[in-house]
Amino acid sequence: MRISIIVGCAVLLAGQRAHAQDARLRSALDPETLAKVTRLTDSARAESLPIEPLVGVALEGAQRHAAGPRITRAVQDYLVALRGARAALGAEASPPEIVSGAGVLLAGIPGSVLKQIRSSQPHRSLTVPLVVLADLLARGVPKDTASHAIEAATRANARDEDFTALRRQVEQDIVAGASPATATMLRVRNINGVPAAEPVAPLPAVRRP
Amino acid sequence: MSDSADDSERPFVRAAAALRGAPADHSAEIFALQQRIRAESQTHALGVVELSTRRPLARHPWWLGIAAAVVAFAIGIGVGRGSDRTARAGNSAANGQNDRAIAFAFVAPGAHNVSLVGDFNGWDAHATPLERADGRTTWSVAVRLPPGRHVYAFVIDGVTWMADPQGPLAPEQWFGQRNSVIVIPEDRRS
Amino acid sequence: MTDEDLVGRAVVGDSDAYATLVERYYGSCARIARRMLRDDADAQDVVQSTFLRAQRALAQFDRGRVFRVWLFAILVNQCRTASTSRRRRERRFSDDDMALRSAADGRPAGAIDESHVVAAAVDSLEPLLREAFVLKYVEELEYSEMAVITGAGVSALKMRVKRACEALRPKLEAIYHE
Repeated sequence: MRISIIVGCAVLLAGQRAHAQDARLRSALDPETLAKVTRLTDSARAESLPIEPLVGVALEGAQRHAAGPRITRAVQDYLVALRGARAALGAEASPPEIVSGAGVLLAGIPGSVLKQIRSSQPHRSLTVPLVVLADLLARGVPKDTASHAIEAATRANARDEDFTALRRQVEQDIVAGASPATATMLRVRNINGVPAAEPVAPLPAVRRP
Repeated sequence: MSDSADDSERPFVRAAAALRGAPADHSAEIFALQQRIRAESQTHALGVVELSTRRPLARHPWWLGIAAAVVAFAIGIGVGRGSDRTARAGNSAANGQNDRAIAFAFVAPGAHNVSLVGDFNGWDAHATPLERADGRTTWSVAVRLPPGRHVYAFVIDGVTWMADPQGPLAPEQWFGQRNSVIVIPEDRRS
Repeated sequence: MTDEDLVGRAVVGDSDAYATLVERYYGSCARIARRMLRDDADAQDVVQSTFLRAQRALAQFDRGRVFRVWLFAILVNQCRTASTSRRRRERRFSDDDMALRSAADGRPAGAIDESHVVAAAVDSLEPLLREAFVLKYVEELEYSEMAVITGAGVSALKMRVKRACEALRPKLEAIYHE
């Protein structure tokens, strides 16, 4: 009896949740786009994938006045990336990890790299390392360099703070004119336990006078 | 340098002086550049900073000063639960116990309004307006965000969307422009 | 008002403060860019983009650093990038052609003044030697500052300046009849 009440409440809450999402999408999307996006979010729900990112993309598109087909395509692409990220990171991956992993896949990194990063740290959250990896890629760091740097730092048990510091330093170096690859290769070595790789050219304009 | 120049250095010192002294009127270029700089500086993000609940925002806007110096990445900067004045912006079904209060600040001297949009408020440019916190150029708002990865941007005068130049960039670029990412740490694995 | 004061104001959005810094350093930047790129239009583009980049990066400026050195570092990197892309674009000009173009500058030979002749001599140097000479002698920077700006070591920079001077000496002596 008690179990059935709990299950009933859960179903009721889930229904309310879905209904709330529908309301948000319904007020933002045209009927055709709404129908397509809802099908995609239903698929995500059925697969136990995070739904909020998909709803978020649809709402962002609506607020940016994007055309319906573009919104649908974005949600569809995101769903594929979320699937790929969970497959690579494992069924135990948390929603933020899956979303961050999807971002990395969308930036062109293969799922095998995500698997490698996960295998090096099976029990810690990879959200921050993956956010930093995606940020490096967005700033023009070559895929191989960025992936190797994050893998090396993860293997070296780098903390989230180390990853955020790495991101900040690389960003500053790039602004100062350093090549994104060189900045990443040099800065990742500042993390304890990351082995020095092959020699690289010195960074311009980042040392103190 | 010229004071210490010996004879062997004299031609170089003289050549350098000739190059320094060459007439060059850059006034038009400088003026044009200054105009552009003033236009660009109408929008300037300061990033975000995590707040503590121990200090009520209404009486102690201490965080504004810090906001200018903190990089937009609120990982591992202590734990806060938000104050009464901070609106909970998340859509999560969680009860909010793990929410963190985050201040977003933005310098936009010429703007009429600035708002925060993100996956936590349905990207609604009317949902989370920033206030002119110092009475002049700095706009700010405090929101409570649940743990997880959030994507956000600033909207200036309801028209111009800008990623936070101090925060990590989101790789997704669905609609032509990048957004920024903020991560509120999870308790589960970290 | 010192650079530090102006930077402090510019960081919090005072565009007038940054405009003052532009006025203060535009001439130096234009000189460096002009010598490094040997082309007025390219130099102007690079200087403009340098100031705009620096403005956007001001929030990340480490207040422990010297603004002028930080700015010049951005400029030199911008010049190198522009130079590389221009080399790809127009391979038809040899270094001598460029020096000649720089020296003549559309003026009749008799009207060329000292600065133009000296500029042509400096322009004939190899890029890294020219860069080192301009930073050391024209902008009167310390070697430690040049190291920050160029990314090269102090000893390498001293060697570049020495080689630049050796290459320039006969040309300058001919100009100055020493």
